[in-house]
Amino acid sequence: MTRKGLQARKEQRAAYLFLSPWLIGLIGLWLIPIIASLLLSFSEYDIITPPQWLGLDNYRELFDDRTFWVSIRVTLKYMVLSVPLYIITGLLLSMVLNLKIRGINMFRTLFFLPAVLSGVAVAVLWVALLNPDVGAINEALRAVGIDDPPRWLDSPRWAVPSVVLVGLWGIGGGAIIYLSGLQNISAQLYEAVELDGAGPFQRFRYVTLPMLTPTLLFVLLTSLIDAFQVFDLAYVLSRGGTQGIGDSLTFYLINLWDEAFQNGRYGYASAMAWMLVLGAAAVILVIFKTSGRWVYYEYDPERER
Amino acid sequence: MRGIRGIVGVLAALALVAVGCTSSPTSDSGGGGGGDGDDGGSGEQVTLDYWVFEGSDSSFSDAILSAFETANPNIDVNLTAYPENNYEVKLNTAIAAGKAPDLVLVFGPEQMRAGLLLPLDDMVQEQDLDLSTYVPAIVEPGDEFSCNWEGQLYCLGSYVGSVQMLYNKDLFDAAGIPHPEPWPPMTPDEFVDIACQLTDEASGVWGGAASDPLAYVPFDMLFSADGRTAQGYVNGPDFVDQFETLANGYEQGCLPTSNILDPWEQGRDYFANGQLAMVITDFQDLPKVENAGINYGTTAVPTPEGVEPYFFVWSDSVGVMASSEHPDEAKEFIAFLTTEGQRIRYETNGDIPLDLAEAEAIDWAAGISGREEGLEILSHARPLVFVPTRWDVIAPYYDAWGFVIGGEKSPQEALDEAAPGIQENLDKAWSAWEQQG
Amino acid sequence: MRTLDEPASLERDEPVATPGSPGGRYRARRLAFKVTIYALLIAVCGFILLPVGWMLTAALKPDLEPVFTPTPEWFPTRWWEWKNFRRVLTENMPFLRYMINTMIIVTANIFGVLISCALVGFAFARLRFRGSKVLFYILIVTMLIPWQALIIPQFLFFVKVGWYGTYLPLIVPSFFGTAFFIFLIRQYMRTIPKDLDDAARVDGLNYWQIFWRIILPLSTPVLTVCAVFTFLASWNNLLGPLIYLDDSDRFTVAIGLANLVTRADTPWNLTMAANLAAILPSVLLYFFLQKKLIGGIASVGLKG
Repeated sequence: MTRKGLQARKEQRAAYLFLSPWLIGLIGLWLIPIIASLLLSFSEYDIITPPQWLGLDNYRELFDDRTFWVSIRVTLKYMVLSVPLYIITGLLLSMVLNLKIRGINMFRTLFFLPAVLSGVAVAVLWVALLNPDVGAINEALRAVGIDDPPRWLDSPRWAVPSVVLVGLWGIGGGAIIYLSGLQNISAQLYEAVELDGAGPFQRFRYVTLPMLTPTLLFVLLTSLIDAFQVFDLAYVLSRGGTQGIGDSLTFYLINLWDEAFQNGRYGYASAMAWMLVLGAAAVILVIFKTSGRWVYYEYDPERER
Repeated sequence: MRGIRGIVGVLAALALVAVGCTSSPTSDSGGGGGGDGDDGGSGEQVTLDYWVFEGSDSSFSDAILSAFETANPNIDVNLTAYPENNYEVKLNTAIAAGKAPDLVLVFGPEQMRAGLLLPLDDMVQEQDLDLSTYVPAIVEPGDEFSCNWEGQLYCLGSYVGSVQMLYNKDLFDAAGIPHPEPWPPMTPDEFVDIACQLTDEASGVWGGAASDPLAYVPFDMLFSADGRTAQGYVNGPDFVDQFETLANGYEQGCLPTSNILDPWEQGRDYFANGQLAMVITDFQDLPKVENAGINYGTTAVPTPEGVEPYFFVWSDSVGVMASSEHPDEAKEFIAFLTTEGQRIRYETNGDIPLDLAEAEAIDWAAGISGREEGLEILSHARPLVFVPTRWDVIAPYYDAWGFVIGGEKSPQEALDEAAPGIQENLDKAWSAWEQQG
Repeated sequence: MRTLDEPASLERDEPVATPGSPGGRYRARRLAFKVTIYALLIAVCGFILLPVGWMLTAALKPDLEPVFTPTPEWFPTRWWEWKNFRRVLTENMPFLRYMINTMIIVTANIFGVLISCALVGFAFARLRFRGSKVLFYILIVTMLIPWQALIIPQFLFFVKVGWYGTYLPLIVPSFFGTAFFIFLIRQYMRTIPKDLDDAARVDGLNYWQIFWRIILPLSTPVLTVCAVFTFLASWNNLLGPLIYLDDSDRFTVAIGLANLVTRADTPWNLTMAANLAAILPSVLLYFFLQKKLIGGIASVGLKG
């Protein structure tokens, strides 16, 4: 056996040792619930009585389900609006928060605050802020001359943008991911580039951005997944479904939750969940396949040796 | 490096402590396990698990538990409070795990239908309870708020709550508007009209408040009598009329949008402050209004001409799980709740006893006309048309209302657009319901 | 024009070598830049803090005072009922006990996540092995399954295993890796230059030593992010504790907060007070951990 072959085998063994917690968890903790969830998607289940097998009926029903298609449209609209906005804003914010100026610690903490607040409290105060008549947002808009500002949560057209806006408030939480990514960009790289006469934009374009691409890939994928799975915010903003919510706020997982826990159709909801997995997996796959072209890893084990 | 090792060490220690301390299952989980777990004993210590949601006000629970335990020294009631919004999830998962409590709050026919609750009729007979004077909407077969399912009684409560409209007599008098009759109620047109007369921006008084037409219009108007058709009803002339009436009220500035004043959460507060002339609200917590010195009258919620008025009626319906290991003791508790409990509830919360004869006996009305009118209205409660998953079915309605309020569409347009969606939802809801049953 | 990025050398006294610019002009530009940044930060902070100010105003109001006023009040002006905090934290719920309970769960979770995800992330990041692509895809796909669909099967599974009523279902899974953090750590670790590995291998270090002595210390920033996010998720988790616990002595802060909200008559002033009190641990944790967010290669430089 070549020395390289021996080394590779050692590496393989080491890798699986390092992976063992996850692999054990996958088989011991996750496998059974995942298979159960899949099976439930082929059943009728209301949680309080045993499930009954239905075959493909749930899936067939999904295609004819009006609310299902509404929820897909609403979620896609949210995705298109939120993902680019959050990525760009998060990136910009993190660059500012990375500056070593006095008091930056305090600012970082303050920006992080919204991510810490959650649940009903946030919803309640944003409903107040987004009040079409007397809320601060619209008062500000009117002050700058917009006479007929949107009616936010009251208007079907502006309902999804309202949710996007509230999410933007919490962007400081996600910015710390970029912050961590910025830490491995060596100062020497910047200096080298400056010696060639690069200005700030060029530094950003030729050093920061490329070095950040691994983090960007992460943020892109997780933002997409988050957008597919938006729930908490929409749930509380729509008053948690105590009364009804309009079509315009019926996100995919909100609809799923309703079917599962309000209408007693957990099997049907499981089918919805697996449809989501399929759809999201397709999108993710495409992004991964094309990521090789634009993501730069300082260290890519595949590349080496 | 040392820093990391240090942190790791501390966390490790904490985690070990945590896992060690908590790996033994709790002793009082499960259906009424506790004590000796003896069945229906005479004198054997029994613990009942009782799950409620009560927000921040536990005075009634405290009072009734201590009263009951004093009267029944061999029974211990273990009360656990869960968040109201998640109560169903908690209960259903507990049922699925076989860890359901003895006593639960009942809020829909699903559990009754699935046979998960014990019928209480035998207890009623044994205890010689006279249910004839109890609010019929709760003890007779009715809609999803009734405790009666297919002729059998599965829950009882200590009070009756309902939705009524309170109005400020002084404000009415000042404007020269005659007091409305408790029954039959005024029409929505009159409601908006009066609201407009009484709204006074300068002194910060609103005439009335309603978030959308369904705040007072009976659900029946949206559907046919059998609840299977929405097309033609949702966008029929009568309901479109209702949209127009309320929308006009908003346009003229007579009503606050629900963002300024959420009638459900703040209505009573504003009313008690004299800032709201008419409020559609829970007919509860009246001392707050009375102590503020408001001279109020009560009428049923505004209803269009020719439609039979409907208002929600509910109780703190408590039932016994069929899986309970101490059904007799649990039924004892319910018997206590619905007799003595009524008095206790009246003392802590001032609510109306579920037994109207009892309400008379304790003179709940106490000579206050507003209260007497409320009691009178209660006797007119009627069931609502049954529509499975009704709030999901009418989702397009909310969007339609949003368009109308924003001035983007006319009521007819908006409802015409919403009707097919509602009909589709309705058809699907019915087929799912029949499939499940 | 505002510049977007300045290297870490902003605070150095000597100006960075920029050909052809005299020191004085450079300093003036730096000052203008700093002022703009501060102004921007303060403005945006104001926006961020406005809602928090509203919460504080609401929390300080007495019981009968309407919390939702026509013009929202962003700062407390009239009412200063500080005792609301004491009330809600002692009378309405055993807040201290809930805090301790939650801290136990949260601490264990952080520990579990850091250990497991660092190990697994390292493998995906810097080791070459057969099946790495497939396993990585599996990792990503597990992130796609909505928790709403898994929560019931998982619940029934844990009940079968006998863990109902304990903290175990809330703690144990974190010791077996979380896809989100594994992915994050993988991306981060791949930005550490490979020269370090090579040098270490030449020195005869095995993979564990490379992990423990070289890569891990450089990964403090990403591990801090994981710790903070785990803290938040655990601290705010409502549904997990709700369905697994039935002894109110073991309840967590999230349950206590949710219990305040009813459809009938939520005491908003108390609810806001409780929520504000509940965010304090998270904020304090973040404030103190912040320093660890700065690390990695940029502050250390390449070795050897």
